[in-house]
Amino acid sequence: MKLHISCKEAVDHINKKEEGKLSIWQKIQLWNHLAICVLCKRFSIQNKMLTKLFKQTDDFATHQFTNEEKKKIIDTLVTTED
Amino acid sequence: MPDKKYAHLASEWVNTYSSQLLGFAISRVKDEHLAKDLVQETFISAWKNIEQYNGEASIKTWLTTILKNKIIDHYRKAATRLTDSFDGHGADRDIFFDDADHWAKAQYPQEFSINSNSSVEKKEFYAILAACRKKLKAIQDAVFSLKYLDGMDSETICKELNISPSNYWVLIHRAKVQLRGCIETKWINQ
Repeated sequence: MKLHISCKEAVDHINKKEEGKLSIWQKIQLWNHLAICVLCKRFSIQNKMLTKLFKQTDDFATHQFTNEEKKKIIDTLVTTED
Repeated sequence: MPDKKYAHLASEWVNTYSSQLLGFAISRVKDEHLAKDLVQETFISAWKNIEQYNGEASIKTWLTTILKNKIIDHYRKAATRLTDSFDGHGADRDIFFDDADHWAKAQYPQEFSINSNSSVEKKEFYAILAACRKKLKAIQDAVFSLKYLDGMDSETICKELNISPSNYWVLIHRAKVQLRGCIETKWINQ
């Protein structure tokens, strides 16, 4: 098995690492790649920050129904037969 | 059954829960109209099946579960289209990497010129994220939502959307690289 992996493989490894899906050997490959590749190292650091932010998306959702839209839904409900 | 008591309950539900449900839906589907339709359908399904509400979960949790199922149904449709057009690696090439699978020169990851600690910048970040997610293919965004917003693992996502693990990893890879690039471009210091 090869020690050196490509940047594309490194990104794949980074994604799998997030889910704890790397074998020991893959961890070594990734560690080795990140030690020599500044671009993937940067990707890896940014990826950690971004995934943390991605997970908080719901806390920042700020959409509202207009009053007419709400009224329409209420009207639909009260005229719905069950 | 349009009697007064029910009318009161309907307006209480809609006034109390519609904004939260809409926020939930808009984080998960690209189109605002679709999100609104899904919330309306959620209220209608809940209304028709009100005897099935057992009072164990809160009304909010119950409504959210119904909405979640409707969103996953919507994703499944995108996944079905995927299997028609998607071969995983071939035709639609990855512009982010060159022939040697090294970062393509135009796509070298650059430093972000801003950090996410202040709340103003955070707000800006989520506006940018929403804009960047609109550029993803529907199925990429579906996988993204299930993974990061709903915290599902890859096995569950593959099962829900009926896609193979290798499709899944390609989808996540593309979504990630594309989003990172888009965020880098838009998220500039002010």
